[in-house]
Amino acid sequence: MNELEQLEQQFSSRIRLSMDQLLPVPDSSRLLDIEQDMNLEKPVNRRWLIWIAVLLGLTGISVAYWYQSQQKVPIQDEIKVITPENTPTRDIPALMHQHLDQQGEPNSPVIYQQEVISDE
Amino acid sequence: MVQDKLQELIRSYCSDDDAPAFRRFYRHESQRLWRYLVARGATEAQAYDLVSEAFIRFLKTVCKNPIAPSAYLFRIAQNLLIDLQRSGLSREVSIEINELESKQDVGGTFIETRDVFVAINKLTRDEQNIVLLRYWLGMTYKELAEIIGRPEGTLRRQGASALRRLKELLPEYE
Repeated sequence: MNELEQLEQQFSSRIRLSMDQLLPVPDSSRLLDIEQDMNLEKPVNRRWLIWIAVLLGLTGISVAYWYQSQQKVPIQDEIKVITPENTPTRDIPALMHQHLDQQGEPNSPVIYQQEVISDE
Repeated sequence: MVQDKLQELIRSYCSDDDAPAFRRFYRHESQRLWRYLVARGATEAQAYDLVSEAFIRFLKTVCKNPIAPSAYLFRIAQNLLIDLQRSGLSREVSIEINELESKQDVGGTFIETRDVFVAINKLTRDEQNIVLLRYWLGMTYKELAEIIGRPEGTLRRQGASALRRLKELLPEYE
């Protein structure tokens, strides 16, 4: 048995008795009050909450896009290409493309019509 | 081992939401913690507040690593007490004794418990801390290292030194 063990054997019970005997004892009702005030529900893991929020957000955005695409009613723009009456028919597509290049690409399907101006 | 049972209670609380297990842990440790805080210099009223605050902080974090929960709880409480003492709101003298004079029979020998108490009070604050945690509360040096934040070997040397000093202060109990 080394010195520390001998000293421990000599003093440990005395120290324990002395402290138990002379230190005050807490009021059990006060400790019970503290126990009752404690919220023993474990805190929710915030990392999981963040992931759930991100997933819900992405799902919401996807549903919104899908819903919007279902609601879209194609607008049938009408582009009239006015050509002189004597314009050869084979030139009309080229004129229509030229018109489109000037106006820019429309968002909705476009119906092309040719209106022929009569000289009369 | 009591510490193993306490650890099992906290594991049960953390893994199965076992609130009654946590209450059993609280009932065992709150009284010891309160008395330890009073012995370390807190007033009785402060000790109740510190017990409450220490358990609130303990509850928030213990399940991240539910190993050696008692040592963890005492470390939280000790840090709170150090903050309180730095703020000047706690008394510097670590142990106050009530006026009780008593003798206890240990192995057929009557010893003056008050003499032992006074002798402990003459140790340095670090030595008192080691003596209280190790020989009064029965914690291991490994747990002390967790609470105090020093290597186990250093604490063993300090513990032996504290006991040698007690032996000098109490020569009649050889």
